[in-house]
Amino acid sequence: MKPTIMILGSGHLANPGMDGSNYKMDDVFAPKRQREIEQLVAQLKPFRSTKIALEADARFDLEINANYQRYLKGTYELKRGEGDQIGFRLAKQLEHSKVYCVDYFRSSKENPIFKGGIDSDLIDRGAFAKKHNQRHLFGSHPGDPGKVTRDEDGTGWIEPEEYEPITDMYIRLNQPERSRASQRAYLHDARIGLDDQYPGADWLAHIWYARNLKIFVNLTRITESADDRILLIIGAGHVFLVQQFLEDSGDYIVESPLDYLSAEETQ
Amino acid sequence: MKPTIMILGTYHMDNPGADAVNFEADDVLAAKRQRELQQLVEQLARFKPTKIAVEADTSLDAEVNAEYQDYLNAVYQPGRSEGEQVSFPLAQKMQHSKIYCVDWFRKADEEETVDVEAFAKAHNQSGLLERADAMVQAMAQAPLTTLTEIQKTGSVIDLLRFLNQEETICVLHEVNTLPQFTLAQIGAGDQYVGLDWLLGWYERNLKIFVNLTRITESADDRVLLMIGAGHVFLVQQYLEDSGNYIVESPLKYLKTEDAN
Repeated sequence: MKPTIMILGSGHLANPGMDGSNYKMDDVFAPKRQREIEQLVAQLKPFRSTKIALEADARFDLEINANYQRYLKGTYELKRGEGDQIGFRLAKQLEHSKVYCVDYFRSSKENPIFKGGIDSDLIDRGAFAKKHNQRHLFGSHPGDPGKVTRDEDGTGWIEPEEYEPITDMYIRLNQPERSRASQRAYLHDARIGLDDQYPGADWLAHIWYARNLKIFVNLTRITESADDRILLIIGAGHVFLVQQFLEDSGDYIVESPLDYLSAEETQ
Repeated sequence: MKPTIMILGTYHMDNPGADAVNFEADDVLAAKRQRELQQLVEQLARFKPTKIAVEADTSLDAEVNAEYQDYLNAVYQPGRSEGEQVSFPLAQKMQHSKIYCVDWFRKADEEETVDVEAFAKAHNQSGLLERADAMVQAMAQAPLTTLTEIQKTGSVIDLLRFLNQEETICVLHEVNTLPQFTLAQIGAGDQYVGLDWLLGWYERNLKIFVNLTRITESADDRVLLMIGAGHVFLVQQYLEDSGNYIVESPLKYLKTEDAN
């Protein structure tokens, strides 16, 4: 008997604009969206998670759980992020006493890898690609349907052209083919480099693999027994690696959220 | 049209003893083994490789190719490693002007490396270490026994046919990684001391993949990579996940009957 984990690949509902290309979510506080989120949470409930893990660095654990406690008491307004909108709601309905922060996300200054002799310039794939005419090596990450716009600071946004119900969006984000396409794009970027310099592969190994391996380790740290059923809510780009690590470890049963999500019920 | 890569998973014919668990190969210079190696080269030539890539760090490229040139000029006696025993004669047969070193194998800075054993002891996590060690020994036993059995009566080609079966490739990958996921859990708070080996393993294989993309020049390229069988699973996964290569199995070229 092994513990079970289900990974819900998510979009960022609060539009933090932290990725190279960001899907622009309309107002999740709109009554229609709130109903859709309630429906999504209702569909996830039968998984009967014993713990909900969120994409937040462990150092935010106190703050996030203080918010969660206030939410339980009815003195906290949910913010726009998927951690609040989906994680808090579901955790409360399942009567969880806390939520779990399992991400490892530090700025390069705080990241111990740079103390270990990796030159931070060497990991700057963008600058290297620009300098060495390798911008064509940037992989194209799986797209969201819509019109692409760009901020003044270069952040890309995808403006959906058609209204997409929340559950439909989660079904789309959690397709295995999308995860594979995402890994393909990361491997494409890995080629940025020349001779003894591997900024693409160094970024991929020391930042991206390291982060996702630490998320895996953090999931093992919160697993207490074979009866645990953990729901991880995390950006869809993480699903491929975290799932691979969980499966390769041989210590978990991994369930797909597609077995719980149904678009029809939301019509 | 995409370039083609074939990965031949090998054992280390010169017994460098570099791995956690090592197969003891008999004398590769014995007359019988030398005849088998000639047959192996004949069989691999049918793949028509345009480039042969070997498990040597890119920094050794000049040295390896100086030896290869001497070999072409018949002034170099190949050593016992599979690189020299197979890739040199095969490259010569295919009239290649050079050999490609695609490994990335660098030693970590000792001062920066945390003593995992000491950390585990101090944090009451020695159980994880013991569990990981026991896993390696237990998991490696079956493939090692099979190799040793095959070697008694079989040929080099028989050994390679076993090593390159899909199931063996999977098992060897698991020997390399599965116990590491247990080791990876050694740590506390902000320290993830057990992760280093696994990260280094991914980094090395990712860079081997990158080095293969660097030596690929056109869709007509047919690259033969000869590498320790424990690497095959990951390198092949990266090649396939990248969507940029056709990956061929060496099994359709390795024929036991020829060897007898």
